[in-house]
Amino acid sequence: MNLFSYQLKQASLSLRKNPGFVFSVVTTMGITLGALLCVFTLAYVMLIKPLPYPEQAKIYQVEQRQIKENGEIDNKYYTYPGLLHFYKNQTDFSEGSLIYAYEDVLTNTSDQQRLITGYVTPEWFTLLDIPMILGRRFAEGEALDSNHPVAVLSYQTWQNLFNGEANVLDQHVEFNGVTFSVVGVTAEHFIEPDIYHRGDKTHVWLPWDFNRFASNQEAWGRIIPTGFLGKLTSKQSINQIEQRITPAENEIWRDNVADISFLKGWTLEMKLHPLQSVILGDSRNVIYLMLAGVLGLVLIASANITNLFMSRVAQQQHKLAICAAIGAKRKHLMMTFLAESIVLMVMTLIVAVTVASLGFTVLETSLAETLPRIDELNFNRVSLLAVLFCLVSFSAFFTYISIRVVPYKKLSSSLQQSGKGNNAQISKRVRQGLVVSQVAIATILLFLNGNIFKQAMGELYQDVGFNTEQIFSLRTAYSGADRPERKFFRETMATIVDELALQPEVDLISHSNSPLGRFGQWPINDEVRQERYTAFIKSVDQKYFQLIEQKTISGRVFTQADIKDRTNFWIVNEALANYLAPNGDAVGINVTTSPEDTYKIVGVVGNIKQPNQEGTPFRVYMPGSNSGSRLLIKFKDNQTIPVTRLTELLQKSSQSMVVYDYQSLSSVQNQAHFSQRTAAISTAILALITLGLAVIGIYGILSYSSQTRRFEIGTRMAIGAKGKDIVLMVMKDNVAALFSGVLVSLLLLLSLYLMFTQKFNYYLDIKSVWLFIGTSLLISMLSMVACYLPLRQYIDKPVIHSLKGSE
Amino acid sequence: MSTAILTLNNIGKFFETEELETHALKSINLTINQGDYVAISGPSGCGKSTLLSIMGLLDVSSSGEYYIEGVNVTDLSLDQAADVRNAKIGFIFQSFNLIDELSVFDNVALPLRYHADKPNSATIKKRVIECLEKVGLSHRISHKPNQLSGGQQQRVAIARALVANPAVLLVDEPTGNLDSKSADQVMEVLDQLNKAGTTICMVTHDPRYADMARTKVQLLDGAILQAPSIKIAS
Repeated sequence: MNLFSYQLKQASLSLRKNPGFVFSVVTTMGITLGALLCVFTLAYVMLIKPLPYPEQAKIYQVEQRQIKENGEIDNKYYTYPGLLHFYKNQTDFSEGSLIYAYEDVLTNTSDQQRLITGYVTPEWFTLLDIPMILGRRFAEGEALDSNHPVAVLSYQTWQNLFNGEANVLDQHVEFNGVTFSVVGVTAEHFIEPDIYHRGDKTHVWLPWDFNRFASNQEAWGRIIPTGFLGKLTSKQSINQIEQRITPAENEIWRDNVADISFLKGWTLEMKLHPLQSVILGDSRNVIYLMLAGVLGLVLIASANITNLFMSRVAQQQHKLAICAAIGAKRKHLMMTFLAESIVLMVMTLIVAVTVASLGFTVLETSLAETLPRIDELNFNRVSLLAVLFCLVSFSAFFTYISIRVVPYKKLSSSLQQSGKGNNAQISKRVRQGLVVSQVAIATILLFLNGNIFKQAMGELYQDVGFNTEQIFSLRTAYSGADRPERKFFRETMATIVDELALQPEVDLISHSNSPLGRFGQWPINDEVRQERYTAFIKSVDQKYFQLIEQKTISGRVFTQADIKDRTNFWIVNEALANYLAPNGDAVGINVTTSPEDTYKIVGVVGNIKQPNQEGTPFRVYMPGSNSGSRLLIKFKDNQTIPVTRLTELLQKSSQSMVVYDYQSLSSVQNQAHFSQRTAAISTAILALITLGLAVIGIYGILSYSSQTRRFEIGTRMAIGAKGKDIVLMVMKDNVAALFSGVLVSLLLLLSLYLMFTQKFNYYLDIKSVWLFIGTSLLISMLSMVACYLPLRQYIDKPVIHSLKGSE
Repeated sequence: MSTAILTLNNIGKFFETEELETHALKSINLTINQGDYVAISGPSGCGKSTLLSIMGLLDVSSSGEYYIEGVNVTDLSLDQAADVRNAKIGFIFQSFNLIDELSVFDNVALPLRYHADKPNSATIKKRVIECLEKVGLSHRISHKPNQLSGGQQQRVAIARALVANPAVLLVDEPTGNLDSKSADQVMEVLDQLNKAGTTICMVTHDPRYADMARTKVQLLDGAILQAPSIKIAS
């Protein structure tokens, strides 16, 4: 056995005798390093890792912006003919695909599911080199204007909808009255780029020709939420390409909108964005903040562990002195420390890898809709290199710290002096520096956590503008083999509504979708006001607003006649009403969205807040019950109908009707608030860990400091100092470090604010000042407690205990 | 008739471990009067320092009663004991126990900072200078302890012990860490102080310095070996 193997064995044996020390180091470092590995891997995947597509760096999204006369960007949408013109005439991309995503009802199955449909040209498949497990991709036969109704399913859709049946290629899917033959299934490992709604994966790809805007071939004045993705082959710079294609596209657009007066002076601008930055979106700052937070934790933990190592080395001084006396050289002692560090760091990394793996699972389940590329998270070569780097650097660092604590020259003389006045000591400056860093990092982390916690709690407990208590959303499905006629389905649903309304438990019933359900997005060309805005639209019946208790601000809600006649009436939310009539009542205003379509506003209702909603969008409610299979039921207090009875009631109207989904709005809301609850819980936990680590760290430093001052404390007490005098003295000694720590944290926070002003503004308000003061006071108070605790062993015992060994 | 400063009645001290009980002191009876100069000597481990710690209220006895100036101080609380130590006892340690970060002035002034009367700065300064003059170190007032020799440090410790005007000086092996020249100087200072009326109780195992005391107490295995022998002042 060579010397280092022997030292590793000795280190393991020695550590086995100090389980408390090992536990503290391994858990503290393991948890924080695990968090670091997790966030580091996330950052690598999001910011650095190439996209899993061939020549991914050359894939760009081309954006079209409409610029108002005053230079402001009005929107970033194409017009349908503009998009087709660019697609057909562009020369800079070898492959360019038209793309549009929507949610369509699959009408040839019993449950009429809504599926995310992607309308694309064949280049979509070659551009991303989409692997297929069955069948083929779209080919020339599905190119623009071919009108060939075929479909490619995602692997998950194949599994969920067709139970993974091998004969899926003989089957078809039906959307909007068109039957599409299934020609292929993508491979399971295909990772779809998050281009539109993050976390949503396309279920079925259909040829571009079948998109819902296909009739807009000449609508140069109307914008649509579509896009173009292509592989760049041009040798010109991005700037040069933009400057070249912008005037070309602008010219053709201007020629075609010359007669639209409100577009006078408007221009088009073309912008190229790398696919990676499109996918990353605004998540860069989030990941930087996560990295900063976790690095802060690692710093606190490192400071704590450094202190533990220093204390341990101080304890081992006598043993080390004996080793030195019998011939151990400096490098031998260093190897002893290194062996111990390595054993500890290997154990730490086992914990860290376990924590990181758990972290990946948590991130995948909770942040898939918040952060891009979450589904690519796993341990990769870079993570493993990071693990190795952590192992080497922390082992080296703690070895370095240890060897600094016991200077070799002093060791050899310490035996001769029996250790009098020659104990291993860390300078006061280092101790104070550790306190400053602990306080600063803990204050910053606590403050940031506090703000995120405050924000999350605010969203959890805010007034959403409608009632959710005792209200259930019911989604029915037809389970028969043959799809029923639309008329039959409508009549069946009407019978169900009537039947349910008769039940004694039911207070009110509405043939409408849940207020928590998704609204349709509608870019409105308001031809009366000559303005454009995006509204979120939903069809509701006459009982909807009464049932959910959404406040009516002015005008009226829909009547039964409105529903029956499908009148062109709108009820708008307060935000849209204020936009349309800033100084008056919006009721009575007409909105013309096209020459054929004019809507009259008959009522204004309060704004509602859906979970995870940013800002206050414009909302439009139209009369109707398009939701088809969806109902809202309000039960009387403390009453509900169980699913089994509900099924019986449904089957009174048709044996084939089943309960597809039945949930209380409260539980849907709770599920939708998962990320807020996760944020609240995780920030609270992180804050507690931070607080715990900081207090342990400061306690450790002060405990060590107290040990080194033991004789001084004993002497002071011998000449008359009381316990409180000693406590006050130690507190006074640390007030400057504490104050410096708070000051440093304030300066760092201000720097962070200047770097990430936009992100911080979302979380910060005037109350944040009080939060900072509260955080500082809390840290200071706990630090003061941490000052007191280590002194108890001296001040609560006869003085002789402190003075023992001083002679 | 001399006034009793310290009176120990049947003082005992024992330490319990899991397996045995060790008696460090057994029924010590001792009285130290005003102006006495008592030397406690004996072999290592005989209980000298333990006895001195109990007399200095640094430790508590396991049995018996202890009086300082006639007041029973056997069962004082930690804070009460601190007050008595501050006002009545001046302690001098073998290893000086000066605080490295404080100057000579601040080291000497320290007992007054903890004094119940809270003397003002002028009083403290006057008193510190007086004490440093007594030990011949008033010119070293601004120095730090590590700038002084061992003998000088012990003299600073003596000044510190004197500054609160205690009833008795308890001195634990004052020359243990000193060379013979410095040791002689320190003993000379103590002798002068006693001659000026300061009551001193000193632990030493150096017979030469024990002989300088007027009363000698021999300890062996935690008990007083023989009645205090009193030397007639020459």
